[in-house]
Amino acid sequence: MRALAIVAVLLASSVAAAETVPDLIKLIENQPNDMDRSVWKEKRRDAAKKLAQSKDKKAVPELEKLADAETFDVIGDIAIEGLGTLRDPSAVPTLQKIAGDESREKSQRDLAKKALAKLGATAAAPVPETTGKPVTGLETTPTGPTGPTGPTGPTGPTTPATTTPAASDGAVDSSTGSQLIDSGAAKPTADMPALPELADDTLAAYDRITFAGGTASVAYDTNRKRLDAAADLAGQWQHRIEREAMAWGADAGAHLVTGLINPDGRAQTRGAQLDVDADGEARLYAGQLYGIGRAAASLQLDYISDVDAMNANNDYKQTTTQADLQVAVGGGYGRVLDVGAAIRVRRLARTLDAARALGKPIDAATSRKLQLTWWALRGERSSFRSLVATVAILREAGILLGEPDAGLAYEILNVLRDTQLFVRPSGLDINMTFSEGYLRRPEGLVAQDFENGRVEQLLVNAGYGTQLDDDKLEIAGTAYARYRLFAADGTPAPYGAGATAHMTRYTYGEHGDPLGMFDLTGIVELSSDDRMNTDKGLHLEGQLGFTMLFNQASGLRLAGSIAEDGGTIFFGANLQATYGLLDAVFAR
Amino acid sequence: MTKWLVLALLCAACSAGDDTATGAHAQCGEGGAITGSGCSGAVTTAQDACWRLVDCGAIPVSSDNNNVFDWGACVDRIETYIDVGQGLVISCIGASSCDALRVPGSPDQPDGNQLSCFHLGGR
Repeated sequence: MRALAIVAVLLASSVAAAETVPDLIKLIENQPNDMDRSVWKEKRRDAAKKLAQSKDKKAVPELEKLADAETFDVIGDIAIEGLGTLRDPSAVPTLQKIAGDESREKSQRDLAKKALAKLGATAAAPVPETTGKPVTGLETTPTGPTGPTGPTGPTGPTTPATTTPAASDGAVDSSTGSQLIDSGAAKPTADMPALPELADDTLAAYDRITFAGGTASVAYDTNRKRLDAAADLAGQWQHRIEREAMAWGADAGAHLVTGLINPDGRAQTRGAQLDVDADGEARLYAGQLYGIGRAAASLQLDYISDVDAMNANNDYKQTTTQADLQVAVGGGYGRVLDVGAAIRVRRLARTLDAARALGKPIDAATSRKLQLTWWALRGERSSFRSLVATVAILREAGILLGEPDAGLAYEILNVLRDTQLFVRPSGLDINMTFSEGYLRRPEGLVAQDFENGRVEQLLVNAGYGTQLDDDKLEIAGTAYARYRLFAADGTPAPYGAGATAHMTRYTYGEHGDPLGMFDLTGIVELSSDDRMNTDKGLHLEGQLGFTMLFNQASGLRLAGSIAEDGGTIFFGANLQATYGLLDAVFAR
Repeated sequence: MTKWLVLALLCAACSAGDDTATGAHAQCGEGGAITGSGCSGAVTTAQDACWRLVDCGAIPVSSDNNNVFDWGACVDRIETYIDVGQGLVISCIGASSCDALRVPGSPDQPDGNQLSCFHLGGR
């Protein structure tokens, strides 16, 4: 009876092994569609352990492949041990190569030596790689003199070449269609730009230059003998640096609107408006609390000449000048950072991970280097240098396992070009300041007690932002309050307060192509002029928008809004559709 | 192909009273340059431009008095101009500070002829 039971157990074990080995290999190589990637990674580690315990020689090639390729996941260690457990002599060359590979961690080399001992073999020098061979799963990464240079990039003597395994031995990842390729030859590295200098404790920074030519036209109508000319030009510079103990930012902008309408006869309209403004802010932090100082200045010049066709008494000519100079001091809590560049790094890591090309997580130093490189290359018309530099940095850091093929290169390029990653707020910030300033206004407004001369006020500003669901969902908002202080008797002391909240859902296609976004916005504003014959104003507004990008030339934007202001309800709808003809061309 | 459909319906019957409603002002409506960042929204249409005037406390949002230059009258006025004139008026309003947009009588009884940006529209 006892012997019968043992035979039954052995039979069951044998049947189970025969059934599970192919299934285990399939699970290791292909992520099930209904399984989360992190869960799958755990499952394939378990599967590798089961392969090692299966005592089935069919498991050896798979374990050899894992031992060879999985340098940064513990599944590689499991596979090395498993090859020793299975005691198959065919695994000796693979284990010897690992044992002699100085670029691998010592723990892995020791595991390989132990496995070789179980097989009765000894560690020997690995077979040197030859260049120019087809896909092997291994490649040589040149570093040193051809690597990154610049203020923060590594420089100095040549470092030894490293040998890193390709993640999938040329196998196409079923979920993304991407893979790593390996020519076995040394890869060209990027022409690395000089990186901007930022202090080590910099939390975030941005530098933006915007130039917009809204309208610029000249036309002459020979039929009506009318000359029209118009120009609307604007430029803005924004710079901000957030460090642990301090932060500062500055904005400066200019806007020019000018035009001429000159029909036949006496009538003529011409005018120009120039606005120049600048403001700056500095904060000193003690933990999350901070003291804040702000300054703002603006100048607006207007010139308008509107000549009537018939009656000189109806001519209108005006030249006005307005100027503001204000400062504010106060305190606050927290800060809101633009984390768009950090999200781009995270998207890059997810893209590599999905393609099984992520050797290890992108560390803080590599993230910084990537972001500063993109910063340095932001003025480039082409994304070529950015792509080449990104791949070189990731390769050098051992994060990108092998050279990306066309599919993965396309996905990386999509991440680098993603315009949905600009201005992505994160954090909470609230401050209150007292402002003193001098406003210069035209006589017509001064006579009606509009704010003029010295103006003191209390200002409250708040901001919030968070990025959720793999950075594809943004929830953000701002709020403000303002009250004029110390107004003279009989002079209005207006106040106002308001808040805006918005939620944006960003969507992407299978290969990282931006598909569009869904956005929802709510606005509430309350104000009082503190004048006779005017009442308090309350504005409530909701907006809903949907943007869909069909391809690079076609898109659809549908938005609707409803607002209530002063007892009046406004409905608005906007449909914008762009369709690009998709040409198919052939020429011999 | 680019197609725009802009629809703005004014529900005058919903007006709460029979007088002038000045409406709420935005953050940039008062206080000078130090509060100016609240008026950074794009102004590209006649409706946008007239909302900016309401936000700045230059004109009322609505009035039962036909002689008051309110939001609706503002949109009507801009749309009477030739194309280049419309563009200039909209650009001028979008680029102005709020205080530069106010005129004597603002916000409940503004003198429409004193709104200097409207003179860029031509005659």
